[in-house]
Amino acid sequence: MKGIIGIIIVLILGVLIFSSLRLEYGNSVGITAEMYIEKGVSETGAVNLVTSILADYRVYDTLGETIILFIAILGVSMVLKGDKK
Amino acid sequence: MILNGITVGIILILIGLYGMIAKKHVFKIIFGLIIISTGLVLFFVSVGYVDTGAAPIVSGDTTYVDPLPHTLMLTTIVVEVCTTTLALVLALKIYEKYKTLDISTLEDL
Amino acid sequence: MSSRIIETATNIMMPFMILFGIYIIINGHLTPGGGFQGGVILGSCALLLYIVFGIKKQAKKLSILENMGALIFLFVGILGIIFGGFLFSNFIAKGTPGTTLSGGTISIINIAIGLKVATGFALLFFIVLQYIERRD
Repeated sequence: MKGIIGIIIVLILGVLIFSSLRLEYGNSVGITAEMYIEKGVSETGAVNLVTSILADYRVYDTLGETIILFIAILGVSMVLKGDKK
Repeated sequence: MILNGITVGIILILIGLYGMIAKKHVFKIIFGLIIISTGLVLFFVSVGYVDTGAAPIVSGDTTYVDPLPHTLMLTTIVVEVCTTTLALVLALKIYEKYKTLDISTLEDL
Repeated sequence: MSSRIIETATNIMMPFMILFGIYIIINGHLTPGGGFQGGVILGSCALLLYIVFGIKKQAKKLSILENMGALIFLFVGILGIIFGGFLFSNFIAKGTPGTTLSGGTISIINIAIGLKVATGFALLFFIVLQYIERRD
């Protein structure tokens, strides 16, 4: 029963997504990419643009991600060390 | 339908969604989550791809791929690892308490 | 897990693996890599050590290093308020692009993230492995 529902939902979603897909492979339309490539090196001083976005432009994402890592460690240690009998 | 990174990524996401809906074992549901995450990474990296584009490390005057999806997917990978670890640990505790990992049995408890 | 071949191979390879992880972290703004990737390599080194040599009591002190990574990260951000005007501003001199001492705060943030991710993954492995060992 669950399998049939799953197949129906996945097929409907697939048809909807593939019929409305307007992305072309190999022709990126990222508007911010030109700005990063032109000004990234002079604004941050780092050659590797991925790192310069990660640690300078979008550093709040990194902050939240470290918080997620911390909470995951907290949750794992609470679940596994909770029962001291 | 042409098989490239974008379509394969969407197909992987759909396969993972089917696994999460239809399967009855807790581990298989978690594996569905992992497959969804992998398809997401493939999809977003392919969206940022440019033909004849080099890796986004500036040297000289060539075309580069979009560096923003790479950054976001880097965050996604670590978040996926954290989520998977927590889910597997919870599955371990479920197995220790109820001695089963079957969803249809767990619903009756 | 007391195979002599595995122990010897780990003894020989471990310094190079740790060196490679540190290289990935420190050269994160010049070559492909960064804090996350190098941190995961160092965390895998810790997992290999756990598997081969067993779990030591000192691994509990990893959480102090993990908190230290997060605190360095936040401290750099708060220094950015004082010297640059907003949170996480890049207030150190940028330097010449392409050299090791370039990028301002990016290197410090990379090292903090690398420390945090490495110790965090080592802690995750340590907690789960210690639980499984204690249960048996």
